[in-house]
Amino acid sequence: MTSADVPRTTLDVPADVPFRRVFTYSGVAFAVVSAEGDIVDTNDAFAAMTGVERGAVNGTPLLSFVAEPDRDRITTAFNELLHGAISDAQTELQFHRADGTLGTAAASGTAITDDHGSHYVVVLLQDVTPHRVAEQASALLRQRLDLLSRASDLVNVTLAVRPRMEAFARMVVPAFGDVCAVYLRGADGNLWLRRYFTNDDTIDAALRPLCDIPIEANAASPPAEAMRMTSIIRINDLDRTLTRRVDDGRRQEAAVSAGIRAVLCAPLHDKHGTFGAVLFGYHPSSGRAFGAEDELFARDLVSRVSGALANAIQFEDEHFIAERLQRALLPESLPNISGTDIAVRYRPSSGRRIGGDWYDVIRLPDGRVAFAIGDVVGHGIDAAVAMSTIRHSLRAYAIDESDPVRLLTRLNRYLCRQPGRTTATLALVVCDLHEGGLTITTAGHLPVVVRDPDGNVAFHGARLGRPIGLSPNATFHSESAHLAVGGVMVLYTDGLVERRTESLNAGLARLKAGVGNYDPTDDLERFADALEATVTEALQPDDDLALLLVRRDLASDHFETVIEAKADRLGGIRTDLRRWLRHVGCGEPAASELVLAIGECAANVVEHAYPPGTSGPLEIRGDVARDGDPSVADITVEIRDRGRWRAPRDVGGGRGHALLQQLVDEAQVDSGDGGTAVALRRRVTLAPAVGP
Amino acid sequence: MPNAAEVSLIDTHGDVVVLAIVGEIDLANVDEIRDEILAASGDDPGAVIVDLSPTRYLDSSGIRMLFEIDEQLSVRRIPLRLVVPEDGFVHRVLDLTGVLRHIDCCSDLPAALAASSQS
Repeated sequence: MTSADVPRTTLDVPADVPFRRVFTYSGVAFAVVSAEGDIVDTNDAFAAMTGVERGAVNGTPLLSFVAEPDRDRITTAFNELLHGAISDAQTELQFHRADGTLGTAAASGTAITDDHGSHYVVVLLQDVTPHRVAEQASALLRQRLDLLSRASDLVNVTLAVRPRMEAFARMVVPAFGDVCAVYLRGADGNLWLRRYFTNDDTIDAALRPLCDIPIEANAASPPAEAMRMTSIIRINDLDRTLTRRVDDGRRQEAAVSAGIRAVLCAPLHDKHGTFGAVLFGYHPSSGRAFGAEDELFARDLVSRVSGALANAIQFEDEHFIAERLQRALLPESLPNISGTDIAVRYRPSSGRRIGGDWYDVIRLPDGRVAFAIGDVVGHGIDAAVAMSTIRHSLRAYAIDESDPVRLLTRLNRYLCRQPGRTTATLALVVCDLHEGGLTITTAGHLPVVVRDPDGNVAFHGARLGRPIGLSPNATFHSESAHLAVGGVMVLYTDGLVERRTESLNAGLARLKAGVGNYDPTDDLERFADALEATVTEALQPDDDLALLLVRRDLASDHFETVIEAKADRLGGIRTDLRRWLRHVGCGEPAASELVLAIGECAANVVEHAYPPGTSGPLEIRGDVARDGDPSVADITVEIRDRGRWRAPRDVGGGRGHALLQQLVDEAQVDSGDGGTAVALRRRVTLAPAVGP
Repeated sequence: MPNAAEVSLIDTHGDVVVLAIVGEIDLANVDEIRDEILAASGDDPGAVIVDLSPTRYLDSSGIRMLFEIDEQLSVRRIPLRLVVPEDGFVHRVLDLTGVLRHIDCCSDLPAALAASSQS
């Protein structure tokens, strides 16, 4: 170091002069630092401030006392003083104490030169830590009061759970932690990490996978513990107590990689009890930990959001359950009815409320098929339950009743006897698929649309009765119509035609035009999509929509159906087979005998193909092989299952097997790992084809 | 459940129980029908007549059922008679499966009643 041009103070005071005593006993900390940056002398105040004894300091670099972030700045000032670029310097710096804590000091420095021409810098330090702490505490207090007031406002954000949790977690960070995570108890009793917020990428990466892993209610885990004990859990040494505090390996790993040591968990509870917990955590880099006073704050903070979260959860649960219920109550699959093509659509309301729209297809005891669509007045779980009551009652009555007016009359009487007034509209159409005859009844429901193959569209069944559930003495009427081969019938609920901005008549006209434009060779599913699309934009958020399309198909030489191999499905299969055999012109007694032969094979699949208590598919495919003579044909039918072949078995028991041999000309059984197929062939006399 | 069958008690003619099976008999309802017929025959009647004229369908499970009923009643020395119209599908099934040869069959109810009162 070379001397600069500016004049320097000379340190030439003997040790015993008063100045020296001032230096030694002053309340201001002094350090004399050599040009190399090492401390050569200090006073008692320096020792008191840093907690390091006077003698032990000499020879150590000044920078070792300076906190890392301040070091560059202090080095620059030090060099400028030595080089005379400045004559003195004032600043504030953070310094290390012997106990590892940090303090704040106001520092000033002056360069001096002693008798021998050596250069020094005298540093004066005044400990201002208490002032800064007080200032920080007051800032923190302001921040926390603000946080509490905002948490109280959370109830106004939205009624949905997720946005509320998200808003809460966001407002907490960083005022009360580097991460805030909300855990809620699920229906399974376990605690699920539902929302968290952090500005720290490492914490984020560590927490994300945990959203899919539940914490068991009795697990060792701070949030679970908080919920169990209904008390605050405060941990500032999670790194050292991790294995005791957390028993799940994946959560231990997450805690390690997130680097979180300070954790505070508070239970979420309302008047019904605890339903979750909130976790607050500090990353070590923030240098903060949770004190006892933070428990009170956390308790206050969490109690302000508990109510809002509890309400939101209850709302979401109800919405969730109602929607699931609604879907569960609709038929999982519709009967596969040969000679028809059926397409259905159900669209739940997009808004908060769940509707009560439903549809069903039921085989009736006289062989006809009932198509039903309905709309329960009201919303929510009650409407979904009422819809289920109506649908299942109709199915029960349809076991021994085929007349739609009598079905509707009974259903109405039953509904009127139920507690809690339920009103519903309904359209019920019974179709004779042999002849295409339709018997249409409606109860306060919009009329049914029927399109003939030429594109003529007509409404049927308007104003035939009041909604069911109003009066036990209500009477219903029916209207006859015809569904031609290739014709389409459309049953729908009001969501399809009602728009806030137009009259109902306009909606019906739009539907009529839409059905008229349908290309009968087109796939029915695509037609259902197209009809649904006409309302996609306009569907009112609180309205749901159900749609049931039925097309009567041309008779075909090919028959195909796949059903679940269950005894109660056999009757419907026979009805379809009889219709098909009639279509292709198979006369009696061949038709009845073929139905019996196929019925035997199908019953055998039901009894033997799948282990008891289980079920699987039963596939039936039929074809007509015609040769030159138009009055005869070979009818071949394959009955197939996908069960595993267990032991050689005859068909339908010994009696069934003997019977089969007499009913058909040829019966071949082909078994393998993929199931068993029975191929039947019978030569039949054909009558001219009878209707479709 | 479509095509279900129903057992209806037509009458008791003196000590003769007359039952009719209306509908179709298959795996789905055969146990139920057998139980109903046996229950209706509980009070040791002089004879039991099962009228199959309204029966539209009957498969081998139904045949098995008829043999079981016949066996149970014969143990109790109760004669069983079936009413089977000769031109019908059920008659053909009973013929093919040998029922006609083992169980008394009449083509109409009066004939069955007459036969039962003689026994």
